Amino acid sequence: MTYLLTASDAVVRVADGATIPNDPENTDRAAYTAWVADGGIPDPAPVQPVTVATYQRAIDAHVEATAAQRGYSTGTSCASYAASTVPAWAAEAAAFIAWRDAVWIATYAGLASVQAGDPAPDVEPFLASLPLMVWPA
Amino acid sequence: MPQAAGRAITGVWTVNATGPETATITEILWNDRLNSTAGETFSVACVAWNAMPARETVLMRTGPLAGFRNLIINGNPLVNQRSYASGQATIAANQYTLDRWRVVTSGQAVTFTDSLGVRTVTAPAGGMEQVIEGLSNLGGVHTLNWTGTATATVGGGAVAKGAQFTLTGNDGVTVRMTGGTWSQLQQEPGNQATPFERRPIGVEFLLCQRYYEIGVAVVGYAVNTVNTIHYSPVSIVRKRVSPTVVQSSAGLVNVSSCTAVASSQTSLYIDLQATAAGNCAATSTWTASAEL
Repeated sequence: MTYLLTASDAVVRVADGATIPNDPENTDRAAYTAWVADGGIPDPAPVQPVTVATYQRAIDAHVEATAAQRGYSTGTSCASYAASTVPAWAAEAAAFIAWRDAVWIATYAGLASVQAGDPAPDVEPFLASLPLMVWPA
Repeated sequence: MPQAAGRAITGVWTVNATGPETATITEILWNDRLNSTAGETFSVACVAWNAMPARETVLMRTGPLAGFRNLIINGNPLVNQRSYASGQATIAANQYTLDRWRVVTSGQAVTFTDSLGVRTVTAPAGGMEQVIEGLSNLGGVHTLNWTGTATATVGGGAVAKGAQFTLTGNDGVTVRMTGGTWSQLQQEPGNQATPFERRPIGVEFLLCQRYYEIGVAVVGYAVNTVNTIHYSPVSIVRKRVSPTVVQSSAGLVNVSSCTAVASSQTSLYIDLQATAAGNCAATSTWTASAEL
């Protein structure tokens, strides 16, 4: 019998893929606890492989979160105000569009660098290296 | 006619019924005369009662005859959520088969036949058993009864058909049937083996689902971003404890993975990972086990 740790406090029984909650009254959990007490060591939680899609999802989320800083529901919504008759909203949209372009330009430059043989950075440091958003006053 | 002193009627009374017959009254039940007074003469509010077996009249005085007195769940084991096939060999020790019933020894099997709504089971040599939850056990004298040739143990001690034993309240109790046929198994409080309590099948099903449940749910979201974890709660019959969940998925739409990540006594949580922004959905087939 082997078990697999997860990102939560549940464990997975490998034999049948059962997710076992952290409830001591659950008989499967009690069996797992006894197994560990007898020296069993569960496998670590699987680490998601880092791919181009991983960076893409992280940058998408970063862009969306930035648009939300000014109350826009999505990045697309923010950018749609570029032709707004309200000068403040149009200015925010213009700044956002320019920043978003800069982010993706930097991203593709980084991708080209990795494809040329440079080591891939971790996602969080890479996000921190991207251009900063400066909203209009 | 004799006179009754309040409700205290003792002795055996012989009265003339209509016609020449003589009826012997062994039990007198007042209809709506619960507050009779001393010296009152009864004439019509009594019933000669010798059609009901003595064991049941005893129970009527000491406790309710009807209603959930059988502590065995699925004692007429028609509930079979796991779709266990008669004779199917188990692949692990203590594997559950018919609802609430597990086969003790790996590789052995339960066989069963049905007739007129009664399922007769043949228990394997190593036994099949049910653990009665401690919360259902109020303690005291209990009686175990069944039809068939199987032998029984309760808490490891042999119990003959229709025999009594004493339980400690709130303790879990393991009832094992071994090496023969059984049907209509009943464990009940008291020192009388009463007729098998045939509960409505829907009620029996719900009792089983406190421990095990299978279901299908369609889960889905509209997502703006794709790296967010989306927990989809699925309501279940309230379980004894947070259940162990086995889940499989099909019909994935814009979903890279669909996993069961947590459970509570009333809900399962299915996590969908979307592959792109937009609508995502999946059909999840799950089991939730809180067996003892």
